[in-house]
Amino acid sequence: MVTHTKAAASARLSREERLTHALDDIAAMVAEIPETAAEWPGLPDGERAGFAAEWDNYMAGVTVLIGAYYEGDFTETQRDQLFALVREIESATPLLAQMGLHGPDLLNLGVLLHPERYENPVRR
Amino acid sequence: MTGSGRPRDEILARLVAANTRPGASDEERAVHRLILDAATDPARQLAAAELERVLQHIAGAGFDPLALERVRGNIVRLVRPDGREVQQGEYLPPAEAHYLRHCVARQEWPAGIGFAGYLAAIRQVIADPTSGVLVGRQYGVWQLTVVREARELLGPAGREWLVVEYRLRIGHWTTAHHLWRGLAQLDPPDKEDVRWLRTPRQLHPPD
Repeated sequence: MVTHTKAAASARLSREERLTHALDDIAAMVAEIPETAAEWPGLPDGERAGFAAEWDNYMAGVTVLIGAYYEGDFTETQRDQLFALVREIESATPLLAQMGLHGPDLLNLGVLLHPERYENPVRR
Repeated sequence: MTGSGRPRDEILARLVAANTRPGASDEERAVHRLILDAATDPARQLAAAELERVLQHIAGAGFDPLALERVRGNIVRLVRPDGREVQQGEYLPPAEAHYLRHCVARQEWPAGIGFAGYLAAIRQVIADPTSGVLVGRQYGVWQLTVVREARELLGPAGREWLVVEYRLRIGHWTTAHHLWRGLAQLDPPDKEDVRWLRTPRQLHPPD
């Protein structure tokens, strides 16, 4: 039984520490995608199920991080890390599709990452 | 049970057969029948004793003790419960892999909870009457999800809500982790055909 008293000893990381921790953690998972995609067809059902559930959760984490970025909570280094992470996920899109997984809700971050795709000058 | 009688029985029997591993116990089949009956018949409400029976079975199911999965993410070089270091490319039992990922690397659960403590905490969440219970399909496969506020299980980098997932076809837990976006993650597109068997109680509403 885990008690409230025991939990009190579990000091929370600061918000900045939690953001950095999350960026590092998600980046480590995303870096595994090529290898995991290669072995995906042969993975046992349980491992695929666990990975898919974790992946969805990690992608939810990316969306939360993007929201935090918009709120102005990021340092410059964290912003660069976040942008690099999103670009890496974007480049893994074909592999994710093979696995039946999806990327995060980018909350319009794409317009900052790839402004050229969104430029649509008004002609008069 | 609906009034359609035998056809419904046959449908359920087929559903249970398709969503239960070969060699499952009679109790596991009976529990899956209850889950799938409630999942596929909107008029079917599980009685309190039936839900209790389901949760008791799920609590005892644990992670698959016979499976092994390759280590992923940043759990390489972490210390395993037996004191050895995790090696690149190593295969671990799912219980250990999830403990290392969520308790040690991610720090979602309380610091120092330990391997046995993590498993005990999962059982505690499943047994907690304030936990929500929902059935739904993820990537097309039926799962039962138990969700609860983290409360005393909130670690240094934990989130407000946590889940335990039980996949019927496997007959074991497939993950137990904190939810980045809380209950919103239990909706489509992550889950389909969701039905709450019991809604969660929030004891600590957000400020």
